[in-house]
Amino acid sequence: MRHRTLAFGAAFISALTSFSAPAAAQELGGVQLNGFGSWAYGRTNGNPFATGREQGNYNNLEFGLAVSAAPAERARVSVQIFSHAGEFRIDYALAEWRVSDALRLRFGRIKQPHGLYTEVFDVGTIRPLATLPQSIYGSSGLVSEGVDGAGIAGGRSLGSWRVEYDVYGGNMAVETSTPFAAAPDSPDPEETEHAQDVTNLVGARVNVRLPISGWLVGASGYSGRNVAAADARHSTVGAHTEFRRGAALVRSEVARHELGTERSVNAAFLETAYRLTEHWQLAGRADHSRTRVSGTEAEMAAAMPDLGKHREFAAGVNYWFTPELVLRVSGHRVYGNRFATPDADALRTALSAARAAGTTGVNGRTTLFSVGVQASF
Amino acid sequence: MCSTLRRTGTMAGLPDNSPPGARGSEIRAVRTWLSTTLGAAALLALSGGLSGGRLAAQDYKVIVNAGNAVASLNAAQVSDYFLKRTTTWSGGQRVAPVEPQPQSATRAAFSKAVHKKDVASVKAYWQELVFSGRDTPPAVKASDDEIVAYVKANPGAIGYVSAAAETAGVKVVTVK
Repeated sequence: MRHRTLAFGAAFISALTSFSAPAAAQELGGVQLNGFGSWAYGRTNGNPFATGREQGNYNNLEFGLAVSAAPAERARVSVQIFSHAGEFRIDYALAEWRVSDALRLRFGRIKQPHGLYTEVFDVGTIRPLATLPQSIYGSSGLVSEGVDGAGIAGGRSLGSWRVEYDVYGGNMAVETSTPFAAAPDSPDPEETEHAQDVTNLVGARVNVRLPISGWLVGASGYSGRNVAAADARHSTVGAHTEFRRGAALVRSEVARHELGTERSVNAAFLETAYRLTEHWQLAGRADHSRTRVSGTEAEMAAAMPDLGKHREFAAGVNYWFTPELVLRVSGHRVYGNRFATPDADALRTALSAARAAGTTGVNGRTTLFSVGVQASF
Repeated sequence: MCSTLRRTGTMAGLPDNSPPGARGSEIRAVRTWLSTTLGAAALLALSGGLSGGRLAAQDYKVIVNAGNAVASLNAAQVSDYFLKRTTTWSGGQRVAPVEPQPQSATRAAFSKAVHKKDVASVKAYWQELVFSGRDTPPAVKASDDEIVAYVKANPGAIGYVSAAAETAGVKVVTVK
């Protein structure tokens, strides 16, 4: 399966790169086909982080295919299939009925409309660096990639302003990594990464495009019940902004997440990019997250604060062959082990040794070097 | 942003029963983030001039079907039609935008003048809509003749062609 995925992905990437003209969406009998893919090599100086492992990691191959059709003038049906590391999943599969431009009804599995990136989680050609900010888009439990349910969406231009909104409800799964779970006395010592179901959630996002061209501000939030946490309230609220004009791009978000009284997260990032020429672009990011826990994990968290901390500074150089194909090289310096964490067994061993020795145990500083290519059509 | 990180960083190691001051410092951190980010964006925006600047010299003509009653549009309306933010004409007809290939000079001039964005930025806009399952970009035709033919054949169509293109059989719309 893995080899088949690698072969398919390699063929996908090479097909993209072999286009002499810029890649474009394919339309076949009223059905529109789009796709994206990426591959990266990552190496760190110790802890695994994002695409990187200490011994180097080539296994960062992803691709997705989106199919869309309009069976009636007001109707649209869309499906997107995504593959990462040999696993396939349905990103979204939805039907949309357009009542008006201000009101569209959406049913099925929809991408969660939250912040700047949830709807384009895996599309590399839309962002300035190869990876997304882990503080909000990592395995932090803040957001999900998809919601099974229904929603309404729309927008309205008001002079030189424009307001766009989404309201949605349903169930979703959030990816959560909790290095605290590796604490020697954790009640759940086997798992440091979970997919947690959040049910009966209701959420909304509002984006306002300002009269200053290229500037967007917005806010989003949702709340539901976390099944794995005894139906505790699982909520995230946040604000975001983007400025994009000509060569300059600035994106930033801040978010606050609470899971009942047992966990809270404060997160924020700032990303910038600047095109020096049509092909060359510089990019940078500052990313911050702080997780607090209560209960049995609190003692470990207090003794080893790096487990709940994430602070990343990244810089990269991009070479855009076309707007749909980019080669990226980046360096990342990470402080804290919230997302730069040894695997569960190694972490547990290190924490046990650290507790015995009265030290903080795990190396809290990680450096990642990454090089890769991202494409879309 | 750096000050936000430093301020939040001072909270590192707080136990979960943090003192009441912790929430106050979080609020201050959020305020700092907001003021820093919005301030930086405002400076960038102002350095590039406010929107609504004058249209570039007309290197293109906007055309609609000859049966369309519209005679003139402003740039914001045209932009909304091509970005599919407005999908029906005032008479209820479905808008069917069509445009040239991404690498065409006409498209570059149109994007700059009407969308106030370069072609790559407009592509990024469409990538976000496509890969979130929201919509698909306008139809693309290889030549001015094909665009004119498409507009002639579709009552709700709107397109743009180079200023020198032959536009017999369609209506050229004034863009204010």
